[in-house]
Amino acid sequence: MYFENNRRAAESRADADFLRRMLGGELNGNRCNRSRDRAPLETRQGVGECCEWSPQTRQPQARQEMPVRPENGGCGCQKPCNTSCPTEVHAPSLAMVYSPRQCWRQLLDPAEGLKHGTIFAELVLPFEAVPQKGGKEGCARRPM
Amino acid sequence: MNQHNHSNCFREREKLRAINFAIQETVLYLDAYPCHPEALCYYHALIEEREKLLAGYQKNCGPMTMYGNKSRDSWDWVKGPWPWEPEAN
Repeated sequence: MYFENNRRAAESRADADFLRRMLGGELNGNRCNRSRDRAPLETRQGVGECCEWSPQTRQPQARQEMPVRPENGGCGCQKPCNTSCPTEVHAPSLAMVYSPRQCWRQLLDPAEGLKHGTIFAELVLPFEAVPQKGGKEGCARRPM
Repeated sequence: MNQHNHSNCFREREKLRAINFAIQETVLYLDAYPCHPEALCYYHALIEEREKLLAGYQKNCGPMTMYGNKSRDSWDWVKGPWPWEPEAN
């Protein structure tokens, strides 16, 4: 029972870690596709792992029950990632992004555009560290 | 570098850099909205301006890239600053 609970906790951490990295843009679907250059997708009871193929380091090893990381003597995967979908009811949902249509208006001249990183004046939205109430430092829009 | 001095060439390069950036932005916009006539018109205006600037730069300051060695008598590409040198940036 102790082992089972421990394994579930580890899987839950792996799921949370995966979601965090995916939402942070570190991962994308293409990296985890099967291809002849990558190791085959391995699944184990709700936890899948896909690996960047690394012929130098990948060695056949006994299947392990716990999610493994390369530094802990795993299968030699360079980029282990969990491909399972969280099925728990309490799992956080993925964020949905909405971006309004960009209108062709208020164009900056090319030199100004290069300075600001956009040719659209309405997208010049500098954020910088500014003192907040209570003396804390936060990030806020600089007044134009 | 002919009669042009470093600071003139630097200014010309800055203009080209800005035009290139504006083209990149316009291209991204057109990728998203390919049927936008004003954006397409602006794209062509920028391309035309870039061609003029590039021709002037290469005439007065030397090749902008290795594809721009206009002289058939001398290899001017090595006479200007290399891309990693401060003068080229």
